[in-house]
Amino acid sequence: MLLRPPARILPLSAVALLLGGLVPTSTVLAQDHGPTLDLPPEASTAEASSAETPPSTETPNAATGPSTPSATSVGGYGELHFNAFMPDGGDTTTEIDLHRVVFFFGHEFGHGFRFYSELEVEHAFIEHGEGGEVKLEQAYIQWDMLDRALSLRAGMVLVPFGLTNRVHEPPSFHGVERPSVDSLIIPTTWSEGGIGLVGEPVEGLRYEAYLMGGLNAEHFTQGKGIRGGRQSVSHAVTDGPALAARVSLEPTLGVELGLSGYFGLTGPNTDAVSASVPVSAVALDGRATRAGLEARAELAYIHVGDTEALRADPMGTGPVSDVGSDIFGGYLELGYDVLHTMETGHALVPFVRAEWYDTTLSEDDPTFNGPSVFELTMGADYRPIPQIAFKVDVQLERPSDGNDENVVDLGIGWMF
Amino acid sequence: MKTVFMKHRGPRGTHGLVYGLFVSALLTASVASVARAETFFTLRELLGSHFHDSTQVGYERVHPAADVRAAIQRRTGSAPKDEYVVYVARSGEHVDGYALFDQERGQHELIDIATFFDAQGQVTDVEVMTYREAYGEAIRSTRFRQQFVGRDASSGFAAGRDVDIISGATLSSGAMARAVARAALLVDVARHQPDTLAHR
Repeated sequence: MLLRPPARILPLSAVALLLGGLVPTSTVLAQDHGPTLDLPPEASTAEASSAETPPSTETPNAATGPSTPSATSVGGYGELHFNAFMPDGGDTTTEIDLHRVVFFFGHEFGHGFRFYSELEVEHAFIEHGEGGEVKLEQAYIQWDMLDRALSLRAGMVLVPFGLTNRVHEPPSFHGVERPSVDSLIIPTTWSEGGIGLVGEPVEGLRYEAYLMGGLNAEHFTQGKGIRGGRQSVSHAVTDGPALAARVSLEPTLGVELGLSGYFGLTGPNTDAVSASVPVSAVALDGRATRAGLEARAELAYIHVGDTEALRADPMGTGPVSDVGSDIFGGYLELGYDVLHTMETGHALVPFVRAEWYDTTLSEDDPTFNGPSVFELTMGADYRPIPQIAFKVDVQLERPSDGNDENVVDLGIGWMF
Repeated sequence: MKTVFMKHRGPRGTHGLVYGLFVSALLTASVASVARAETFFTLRELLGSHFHDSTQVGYERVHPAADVRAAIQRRTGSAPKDEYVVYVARSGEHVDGYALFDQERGQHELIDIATFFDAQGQVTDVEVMTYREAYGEAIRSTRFRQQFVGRDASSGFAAGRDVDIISGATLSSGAMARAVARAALLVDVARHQPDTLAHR
């Protein structure tokens, strides 16, 4: 007999009434005529520390089964890269880079409240203003109000847009470097301060929706689109707010389709322009892991309004921004675990990814028109365990205008 | 000449109104709701519910032998504990089923998992008793847990091959598969090798 989750919801609230039949009702667990229970003495101790009380630091007891771990937890992920850049007609250069190490800290308060954070160190060190950077990627409080159906999340949160911005632990994607679309089109990692709701009201249907701080139009660029406009919750001006939401459906286990939307005003967040500079964006994504096949696809389109105001140069000091009005990109990635049918527990996944992106789509004015780029990435990931990936690939970058470049990448990624 | 707005730092005007309405709606919903605990079931609740028609649920302490320990390590990637408690439901002298409560690590946290078996050692249900991770809680879904029903110690439990994983919950999916695989092996011991049981 499979019990319907969740078992202990008491849908007495206005929210429950609004959600109506979408929320699973409580399962009857009455023991009025049940069996006589003869439990080991350790079980009473385990039960006493469960349910409505915050987790304790009790030492796990092998005999009782479940015990209660610490309320505060630590985890993380990271990746080390070696890149050999081979531009057409130029000299080959190489580098090794501890691209990022991210530390996760979480705390379970009990009563449905939890804290989650990620602190990132990029490029190993910072000294005298040089090197990488240290920054928070996430830091929020979540209140699970109606089990998995409805949680309130407030703090520094990931913008729910696309695939990689939400899930970007290195073993979770193929290739040493993240897809270029997830950098130049979708400005991963994209976090803002906000408040919103997340949940899975019915199995396989998930949502996230936030009211959050917006982008700063002054730092949009032609080559990197809206990426420079992220304010990262550092004295972020919020005169121009934003709404972001994502809905995903998992029609069958291991196959997920997502639709993301974003709208925000970016002009009010800078003194450099008087227009509102609205940014509208939509993304479609999908991923599938079935029978050894590992596939991902993503399409993203971003429209930046009032670009005429950003490009105006009445003082002769240059435009505020040369960002394109229409930004578009997408990729398709296919891989197959050749060890899938074996008993090794390891995964060896040759893959190929084709990307195309243009940060200045359909620009008539050549001053504000940049090249589109086609990228083909071929390589393999070896995962001896799901949390560790050794990676190798070759990237062929073919811009519509300018020099081609080939890049050979080696990397290792981990998460725990 | 370009006009430059003098900025107010903070929500104002219509934007402030939007913030206010949104936050008010959220707070209203929050106050009206009932907070849940992270523990969804207790051991007592699950035993009482699953073996409702049995007359008695007792327990046996199982110390897996070397070959079983090796099998568990091979399937789960980690060494088993020295002792497990297997719950046994009976109606008189007849065994109705078994249950095992255990923990397995997801990405960061331990997940408390209960696995139930019929008298033949086939899985009848898997439940998440307590889930602590920030992500991956979708393994509590019925359709994911349903995959384990009917499997036994001889079945495959490899996540991604024998068990379909949930998108965005790869590690948690694997954790449940490992927990059920271990439980199936231990219950198999309890059923077929009574000499290995250390009765209380």
